Amino acid sequence: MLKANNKVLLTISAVVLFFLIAPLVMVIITAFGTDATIAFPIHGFTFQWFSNVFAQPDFVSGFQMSLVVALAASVLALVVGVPLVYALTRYHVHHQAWFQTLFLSPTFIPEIVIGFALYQALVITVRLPLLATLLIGHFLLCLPYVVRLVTASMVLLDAHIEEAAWVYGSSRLKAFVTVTIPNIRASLVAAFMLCFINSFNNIPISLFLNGPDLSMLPTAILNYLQNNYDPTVSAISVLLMLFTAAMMLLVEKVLGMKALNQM
Amino acid sequence: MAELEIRDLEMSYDKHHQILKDLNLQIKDGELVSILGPSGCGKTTTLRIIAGLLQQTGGQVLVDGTDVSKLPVHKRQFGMVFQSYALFPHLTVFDNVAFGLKQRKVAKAEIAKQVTEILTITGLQDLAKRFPAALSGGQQQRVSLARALVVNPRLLLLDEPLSNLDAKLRVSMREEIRRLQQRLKMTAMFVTHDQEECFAISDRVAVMNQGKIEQFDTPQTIYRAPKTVFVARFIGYENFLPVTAEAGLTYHVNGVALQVAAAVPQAATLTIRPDRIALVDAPGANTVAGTVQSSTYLGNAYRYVVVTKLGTLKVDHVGLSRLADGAAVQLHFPQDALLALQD
Amino acid sequence: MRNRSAFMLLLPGVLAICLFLFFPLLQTIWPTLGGNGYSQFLHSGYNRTVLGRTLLIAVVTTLLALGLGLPLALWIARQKASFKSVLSVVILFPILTNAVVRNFTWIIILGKDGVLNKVLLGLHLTQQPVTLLYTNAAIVIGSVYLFLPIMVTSLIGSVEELNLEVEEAAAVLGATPWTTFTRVIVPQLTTGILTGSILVFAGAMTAYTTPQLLGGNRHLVMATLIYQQAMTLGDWNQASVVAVVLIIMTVVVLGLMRLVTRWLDRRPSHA
Repeated sequence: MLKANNKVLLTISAVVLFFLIAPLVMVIITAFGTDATIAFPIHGFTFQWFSNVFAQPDFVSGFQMSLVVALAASVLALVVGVPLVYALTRYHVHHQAWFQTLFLSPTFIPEIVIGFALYQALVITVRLPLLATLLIGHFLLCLPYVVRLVTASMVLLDAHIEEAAWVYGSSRLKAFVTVTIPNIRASLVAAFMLCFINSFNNIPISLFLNGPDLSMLPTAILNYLQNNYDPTVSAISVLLMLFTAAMMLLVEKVLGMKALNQM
Repeated sequence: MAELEIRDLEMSYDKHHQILKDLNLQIKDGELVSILGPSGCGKTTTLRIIAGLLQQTGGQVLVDGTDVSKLPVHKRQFGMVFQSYALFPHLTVFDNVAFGLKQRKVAKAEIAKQVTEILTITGLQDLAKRFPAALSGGQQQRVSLARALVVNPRLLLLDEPLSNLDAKLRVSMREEIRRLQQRLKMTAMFVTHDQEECFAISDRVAVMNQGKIEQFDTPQTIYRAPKTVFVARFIGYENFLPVTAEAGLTYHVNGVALQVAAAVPQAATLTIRPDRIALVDAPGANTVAGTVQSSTYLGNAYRYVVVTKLGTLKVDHVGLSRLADGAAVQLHFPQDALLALQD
Repeated sequence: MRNRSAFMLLLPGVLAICLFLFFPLLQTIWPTLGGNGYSQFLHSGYNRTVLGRTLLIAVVTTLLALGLGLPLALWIARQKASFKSVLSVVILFPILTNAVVRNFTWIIILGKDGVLNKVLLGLHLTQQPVTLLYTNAAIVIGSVYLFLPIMVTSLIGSVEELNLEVEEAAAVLGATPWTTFTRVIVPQLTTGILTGSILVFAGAMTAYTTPQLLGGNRHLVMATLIYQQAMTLGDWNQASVVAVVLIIMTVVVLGLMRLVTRWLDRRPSHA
């Protein structure tokens, strides 16, 4: 028997958990130091680095841009993804597994290659606007999350429930809206959140697709970090962690702990 | 409510797999007809075609003489009880039952009245505000039934509705289904693989095998006079004797002459239930000698496996003492218990 | 009729994948065929070093993540439900936190004036600050930090499916906890180990942010090489070649991993 309170197991787990959490805690602390460069342990206490974050136009506009792109890409992925998942799980589609793989295929291609290929093909060759291409790239990033999460919950949902709705007078569309959606709500919200967070955090896809007035927040931080080494980055890290925590809290409040564990 | 007629129904998913072949069936107004058969015989497919959940590849489904084959499922105005109950998990018992009435645009006050009434009839009045997840299997089954009954369906379809319940509940639920169906005078079709359940509940039974109906009759007739080997086997006949020659009411099996009460043309098999074979003292007509090979205690009787000239037979005998293995016995087949069957 | 509705529902997705993924990829791959881009790539010792480094980092990262993740997953999966969901959130949080932030923590720790050097100097374990940042090791540490939570998440699911009575049976038969772990638990976790390893390996192999921040310009990997070839050197054809090689290498190694696991796990598969 390997019990949960096994001493060796407990020790290793504690060390690994420390390895996971301590660096993040340390970053939070460095955001409040008064030294001009990042130091740990810190000297003094200040909020100046947080105000410095908002003084960086790249950060502010990057944040707005990341927010817009992440929102649009997530919605787009749901709009395209949910119907195809419905088709794959509720109709007898030939080569169903093949389609499933097709829709998950963006995950098999390195993100940096997706960004590079989109830039070459869509921006250079087809002359699509940079913003549209960026949105397409983030849509590709999001689609597999929708396919995976929504498929899982559609498979778990008894298909007879929708049939019962038809028998009692609902058209397919009406049954989908009034019966299916309320019962897969958790996966829809979870998929949206995962899409949103991953798109918001993504760097490799956006890397090739930025221009003079089109910079995403993560790339902006990356650029800043390559030229500066001051606690402004710590401060924005704290803000991003708060952002993540807020999203998780939102999921937990809307759908409960279980949904969070599913993500 | 309505009459149902199925005419030359055919169903195949591809050229090689025909699920239903030339199926014909009529259900009279207010009648409860069961389709009985093993899994994979096509009974659920038939029910789903009638409901409109599947599109047949040939034939017609007529309700009161009108072909409904082209009518989409949500316009057929039937009621259906699913094997998994298929209650809407996000709605309360009340809203589950009200669902069909809402689709029919019934006024709110009228919905409340009708739902309350059916919940009372089905004994669910105290559970109206609960969600399906908080109900027992039997309660969920009642909700599913109430949801079907409240819309006053032209046809009530029941797809193995009792198979997820425990044995005791199964008996009381089937009585309740029968009671409600008769009280509300519903035309109903019940699909099951359980012979006892089906006989208890039905006006008539269609025994189905490999996409065809083998026999369509009252439960009594099917029990007393199964027409084919498949039907006999499915309803509990266990001894089958291959006929080698026939003459009038006399059939020969391995040189033994056996008399039956009713002759069947081109009969190939004789059958008898284990409990209808009698142990007698002396040889005589319709009697054959045998040796007990093994025995099992069944509670109300002993089951003997007896080796005879006719083959190995199963015999149930009610008696206080148990015959030893190897004992010599005489088996008598009462003329009216021995049935001739077509294949 | 029904097939037509299914077709209509699938169409937008199929079109999107074809137009936005396959077409751009073909556009990228096509010009590299025919030319001598690939032989040029393989002839360069520098490129071979980058390829080898990329593979090495991915392999070491996967092994370390597995070694650290397995005990943690086992421990978490066997806690009480309430504590377990708290721990799951602790694991989930880093996954959902920006990679720049997570790599940045290691710049602070591993830098020349970083936390680790301060500790080493303070304990007089070294006289001079040690070069930790901008090394292969830094990339590995950063990658493990980045992907460990994903490994743990994949493993927890697998551990939760284990039947505890099997381990009780092993104990009754005299197995020590260590034997139970190596001979009973791990062999039953092949699916979870494979899933986690594939995610970590593919992630570590193709990651851009970590090698960029922790490896610097002198420790390029394939992903950073693509960017450098395209944006710094302006050699788009060579960048495409690197991209194709990266895709092929990833697919090949993942295929091999699948084969090895199938060979190790010769029980009849349920999938």
